[in-house]
Amino acid sequence: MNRERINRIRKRAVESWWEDGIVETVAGLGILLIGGIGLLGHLLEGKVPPWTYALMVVVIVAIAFAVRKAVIWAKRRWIWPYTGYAVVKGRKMRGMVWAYVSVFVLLGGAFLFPHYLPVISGAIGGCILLSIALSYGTRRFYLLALISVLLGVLLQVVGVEGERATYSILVALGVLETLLGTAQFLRFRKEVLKGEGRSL
Amino acid sequence: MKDDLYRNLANLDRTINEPARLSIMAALYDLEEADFTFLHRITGLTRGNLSSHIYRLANGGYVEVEKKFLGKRPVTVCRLTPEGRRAFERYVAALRELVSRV
Repeated sequence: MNRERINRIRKRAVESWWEDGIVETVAGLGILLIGGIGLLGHLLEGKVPPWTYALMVVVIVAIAFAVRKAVIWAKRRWIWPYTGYAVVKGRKMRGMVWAYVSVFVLLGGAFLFPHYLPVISGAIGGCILLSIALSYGTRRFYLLALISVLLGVLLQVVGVEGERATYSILVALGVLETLLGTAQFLRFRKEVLKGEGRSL
Repeated sequence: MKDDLYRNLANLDRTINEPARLSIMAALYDLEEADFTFLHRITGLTRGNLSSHIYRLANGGYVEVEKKFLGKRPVTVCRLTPEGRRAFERYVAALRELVSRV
């Protein structure tokens, strides 16, 4: 057995975590919620008591931690009975952790560079999505990365400024990721139920 | 120099140095754990073959096998032991060195 085959099997084992679209759907919903909460907080600025913002941060952190649990629950219910059960090692999930860390950095950066924030937000989102695409070979993430960058430029040109632009990008990416993930999930389920699941 | 090469070749871990078992080790390396159905799908081995090779790896102390329930469904789960993980890394490193010297 040559090294290419060893690497191919390792790559396929890790890719199997993404091929059913569940991770994208759940992570997309998480990002949508985080963006939505942020946008709501921005719109209600000054109209709600200060402790509400602390509560929002707690909710956002809880969402970030709940994503992996929700992914495992959904896979157990809809995927593993047909494809077999496999859980990728935490080490390989670094991409997702970094994605969430960067989202927090973005939220913090919103206060530092308000004028160029739309472009910066779009570019950072694009980098995160590109790193996931390159790490796991999921082609759908290249499209999302491109959309993130274009969205940032579009919002900058249109003149949407500050945090509002950042949260809008998060909401848009969350919606797109959820839709792409759901479409992939339905396609994968159909393939698997027909017995056409991919193997090496 | 050549003697070293032959010695290294002769010292390759024989438990892993078999295509089916190497496939199983490679598939499990980046996973926390996986069940028989998954390994059957990803390695392309028949269930009988898979079962016998996993048994061999388990006897060598490289793989742990555990029966558990996923919800209401019973599954046989396999995972690499720390020793198995180290053995796989040693094997791949040895293979890489051998290839670079040929």
